[in-house]
Amino acid sequence: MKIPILHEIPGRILAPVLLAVVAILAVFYNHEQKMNGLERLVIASEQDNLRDYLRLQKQPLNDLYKAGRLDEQRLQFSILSTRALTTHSFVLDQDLNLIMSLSDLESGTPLGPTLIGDDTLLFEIANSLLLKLSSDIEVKRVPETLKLIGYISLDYGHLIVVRDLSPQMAYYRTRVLRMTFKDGITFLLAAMLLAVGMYVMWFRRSQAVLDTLTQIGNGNLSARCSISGRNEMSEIAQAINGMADHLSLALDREKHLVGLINRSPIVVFEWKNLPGWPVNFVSESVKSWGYSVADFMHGEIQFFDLIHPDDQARILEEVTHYLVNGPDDYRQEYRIVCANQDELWVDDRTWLVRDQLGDVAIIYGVVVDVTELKRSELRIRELNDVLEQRVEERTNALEAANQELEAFTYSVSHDLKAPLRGIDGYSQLLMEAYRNQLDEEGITFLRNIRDGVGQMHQLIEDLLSYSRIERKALQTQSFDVSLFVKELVEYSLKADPHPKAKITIGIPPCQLELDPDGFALVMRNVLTNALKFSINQQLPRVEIRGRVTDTRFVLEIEDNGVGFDMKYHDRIFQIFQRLHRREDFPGTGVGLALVKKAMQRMGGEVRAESEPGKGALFILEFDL
Amino acid sequence: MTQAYLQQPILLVEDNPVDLDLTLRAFKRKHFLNPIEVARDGEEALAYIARWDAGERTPLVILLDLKLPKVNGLEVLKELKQHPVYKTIPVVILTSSSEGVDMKTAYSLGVNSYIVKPVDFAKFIDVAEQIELYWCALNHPETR
Repeated sequence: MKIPILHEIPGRILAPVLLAVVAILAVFYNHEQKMNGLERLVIASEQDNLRDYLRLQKQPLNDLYKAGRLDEQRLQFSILSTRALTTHSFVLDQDLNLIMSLSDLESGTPLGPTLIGDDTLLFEIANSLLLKLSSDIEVKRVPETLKLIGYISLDYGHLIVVRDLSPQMAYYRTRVLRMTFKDGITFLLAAMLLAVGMYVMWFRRSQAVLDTLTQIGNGNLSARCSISGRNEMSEIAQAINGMADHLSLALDREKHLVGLINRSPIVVFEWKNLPGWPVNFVSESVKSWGYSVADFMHGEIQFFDLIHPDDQARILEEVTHYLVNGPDDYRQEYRIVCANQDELWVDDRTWLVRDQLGDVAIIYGVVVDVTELKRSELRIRELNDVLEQRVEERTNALEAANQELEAFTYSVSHDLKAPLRGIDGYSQLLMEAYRNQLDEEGITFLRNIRDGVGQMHQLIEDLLSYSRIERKALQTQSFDVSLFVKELVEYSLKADPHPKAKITIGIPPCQLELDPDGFALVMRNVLTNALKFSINQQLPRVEIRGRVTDTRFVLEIEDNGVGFDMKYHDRIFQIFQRLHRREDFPGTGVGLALVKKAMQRMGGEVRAESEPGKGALFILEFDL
Repeated sequence: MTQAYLQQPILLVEDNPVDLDLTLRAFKRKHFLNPIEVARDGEEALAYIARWDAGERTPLVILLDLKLPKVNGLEVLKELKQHPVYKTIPVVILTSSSEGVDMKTAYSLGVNSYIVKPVDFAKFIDVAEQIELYWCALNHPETR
């Protein structure tokens, strides 16, 4: 139920008015209740009175009638009948003719309305009482009136008394009205007191709460409500104070954050998704670019104009793409032009907020000045370039030095050959021309000189081969390794036959991508090595096996020669390193070094397994 | 006719006195008939062009060392083989270098033969004999 007026009237007025109304209504209700009760009470009490009265009358009237003392009887009747409230009183004989009455009607008048003041209703009731004669005594109220009619039978007739209670009632009513008035005054006073109390207790506090809330609403977050006690209003006040505390704390924090942002190199933007990207919000830190917040908010500057002309097209294209296709979180780097025309590099982290239709409504951006970073990046790049250039220079220098060294080795090796030729040539000429003048010892000396020359020559040739590996460019081509090895072995044996040796080859067909010269060099040297160290066995045996693993081709060359101690494993692959005396096994100590170097150049690996006197196993691995 | 080219000289370009002496001895050993003219460096070798222009006899064959002072053997070879007239004179490289690169370069410049000098003197004598046999007896040079 809504009663509009109740919402229009302030509580401090409405409450007392309602209280007064309620008080008045209560008084009236009480009054009415009392009045109703009063009538019933008075009528009941008067009925009893009348009945008592009639009973009291009966005996004396009967006695006096019997005694024939008519005058006394009359007196008695009149004395008793002049009682207050009695309007009519009369005695009738058995034939219902008047014997005595209060009025001066002649005795012998028959019963009729005149006897009761022409009151027909009253008459009818009296008549009905007399006719029915249901009981000895009867008292009845005349309906809708304050009149009582009483009847009692006498020995000689009937006594009828009519009483009007109006004056009695009027008296009581006056008294009740007075009481009601007193009650009303009391209630109204109480209502007033209550209203005052409510005002003091409630409305004044609610006003204070309202004032505080109004102040907080106007931004005065220091406003507080001071209502003591533990009542509802004080609880509300405390809740408001708590709320204000939180709000001011949050505001402080926000101020703090805004302060932080403003002092940082970060500029926060909120753009509208409109051409030129007008600004909804921008942090004050935009001052660091020489612009004011107002410049943007008044639309004097649009963000797009800040972007460096060289970057505008790219940024516009990228943003257009993101707006349509997402992602809604992205980063861009570009230059902006400050108010003083300085250029800054910025890192713009943007996120898009879309409406329900998926269209971008708002664009947020955190724009960070990364100029220093960019500068450092540039510096690093420059340094890197310098470094790369330096590395290149060094590499070139190193290559040059390497080439020089190779040229040196090459040149020295060749130059060494000339004097060797001289030594050999002249020692031979000496042998031929002056043989007769030399004794055996002299001839031995000359032979030893020529042996030395031979060894030196071999050494120089090996050294040249070794340096040639580095100098020669790899020329990779595909070939079948099993065929290649077979031909190689046949060719080697033709050039340097080993009739005693048994050589077996078991290699599955396999295509390898290698430098064939390098591979041939490796195979030749390993084979020569195996034959050389097993030549003194009764049955020299060399087994060449091949197998293919997941990623590699493995070639194993096993002999039954003298073998070596594994502690020298690394040494045998070093240049000029030998494990045997020259007279036992000739050689320069270059062969396996050549193998190792050639394998390295081809991206392969070589290793050996052996025990002294138990042959040696050389394992070559190539990438497939 | 045989007489004519037997009198034609061989030009030996060799800077090393020991090699020069041994080479001369090796050829002498084989009773070599043709006269041997000697140039001791590249410049000297190229100076022969002017002498040939002036009417001196051109050599039957030029034995050219690679490592030479002033102008090296390959440069001499290049100059000779680019010459409109004397490019037909056979040039044999006689060197201690067995480098593939050197051989390849020499042949690409138009050398007629490339021989590695053996260190062993006995073999060297064989080589001298082979050279003599081929270039002075079997090979028929262009007649002038």
